[in-house]
Amino acid sequence: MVEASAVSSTCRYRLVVVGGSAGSFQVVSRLLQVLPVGFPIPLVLCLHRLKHVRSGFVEALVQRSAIPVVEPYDKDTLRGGVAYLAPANYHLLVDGGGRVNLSSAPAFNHSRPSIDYTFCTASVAYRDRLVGMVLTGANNDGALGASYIKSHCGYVMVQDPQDSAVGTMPRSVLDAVEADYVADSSGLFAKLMELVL
Amino acid sequence: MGLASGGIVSPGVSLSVRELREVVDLLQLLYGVDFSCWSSMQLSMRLVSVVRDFGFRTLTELMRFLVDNRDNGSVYDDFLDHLYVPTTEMFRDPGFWRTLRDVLVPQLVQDRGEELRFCVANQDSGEELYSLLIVLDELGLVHRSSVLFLYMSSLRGNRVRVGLLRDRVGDSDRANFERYSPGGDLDRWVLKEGNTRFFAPDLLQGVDFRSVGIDSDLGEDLQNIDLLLCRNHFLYYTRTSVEVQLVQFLPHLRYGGYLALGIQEHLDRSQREGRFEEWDVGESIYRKVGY
Repeated sequence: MVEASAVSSTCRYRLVVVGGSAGSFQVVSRLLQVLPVGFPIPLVLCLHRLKHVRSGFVEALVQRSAIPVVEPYDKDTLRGGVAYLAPANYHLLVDGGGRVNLSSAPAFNHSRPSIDYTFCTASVAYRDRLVGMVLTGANNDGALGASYIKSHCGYVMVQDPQDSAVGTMPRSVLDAVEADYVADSSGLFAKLMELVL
Repeated sequence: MGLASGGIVSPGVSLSVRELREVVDLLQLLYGVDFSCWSSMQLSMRLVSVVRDFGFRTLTELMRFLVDNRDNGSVYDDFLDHLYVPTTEMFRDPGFWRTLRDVLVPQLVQDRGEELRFCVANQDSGEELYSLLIVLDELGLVHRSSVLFLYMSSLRGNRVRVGLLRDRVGDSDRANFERYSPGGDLDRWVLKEGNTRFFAPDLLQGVDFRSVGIDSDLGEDLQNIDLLLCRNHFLYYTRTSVEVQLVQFLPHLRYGGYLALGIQEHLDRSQREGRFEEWDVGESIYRKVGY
């Protein structure tokens, strides 16, 4: 476990949003293992998941994580050093006050939770203070959202499709935007530390 | 992007504070309805959706359309029908409906007898109501109970009143129902007429359909509700507006009656204090214990 003894309070970024689908659970698990206690900013995880599985997913992530992992209630405030997992069958939106807004609106691009909704709303709220990370997945959810992050001067990092269990999602993002960083999962984690710590 | 620039709307684009204020002011001017009770984020997202549904490219086009048709009540009604989020699936959260069937409603019967009062108050597009009626039918209570359905859009209310289902009973509905009642057949409650499907008309005929305003005022004559279904409704409102609605709902709930929210909604301590106790945290069901 890495202690964040040198956590910078002047870190430019204020929020990390992570999107993933098929194969992303393993990647996110590893990410949560390497994040230090005291990671200074919130992490929002928008992972495609079975809507009827209401328990087990967050518990499995918590087991491996150095930071708390929660499924937020509507209107919860995002806090540094906590990972927020979009609840099954809800969209997770982020507002300008750093709060979670959940939505039961219809699926967008066949997805609920929608990575695009999370990324788009976070990009408007956090602009150049946002890091977006796109992982392995089997559809193009997240491509629109990544373009929003870029257009609002945020930072977009993408898992190398060659490193992905399913390369469709990262490839669709790379087709849509010029990502700031492309790497295998270990490379993404290291870059995230560099940006935030 | 906005009313002045007439920019193209896309999902997730929030209107600026000024733009949203313009829209809210315009809607107040046109219809006398104050949408500032809605969360800014949620209103933005829903307006973007309405723009798309109406086939426009920009919010300005939508607003101009509403202005040009301000004397046409059906246009406003259609706007409301699209603005309010549809429920999208029957038996959403099957565990909640099992709790209702197996625990909560039997408890109510034990406490109060079989003449119970239920209210669906979340601007439901029908799916919550149909699910409730099926539960009550399975328990043999549907013709003994009072069920009230509240709506703002007459289009939506009328569609639900006749039980009009989406083109087909969807895979989500069936999958949810299977989890609610393994081996059960949802089609028992579906009537097919040609290519159109309707929910069981005999169960709907006893439902009291009432139009309400944006403040969800239930009216003085509605009292002693045993279960108020308000699931995934407060998501779209500001915290202040949620408090207003809770205060409005409370007198209509019987002491010991229940308020059901969406499973990712909750009442914090200050919202519960002196009013509700947590009855089932996992299913977000609260019991009235105060006034």
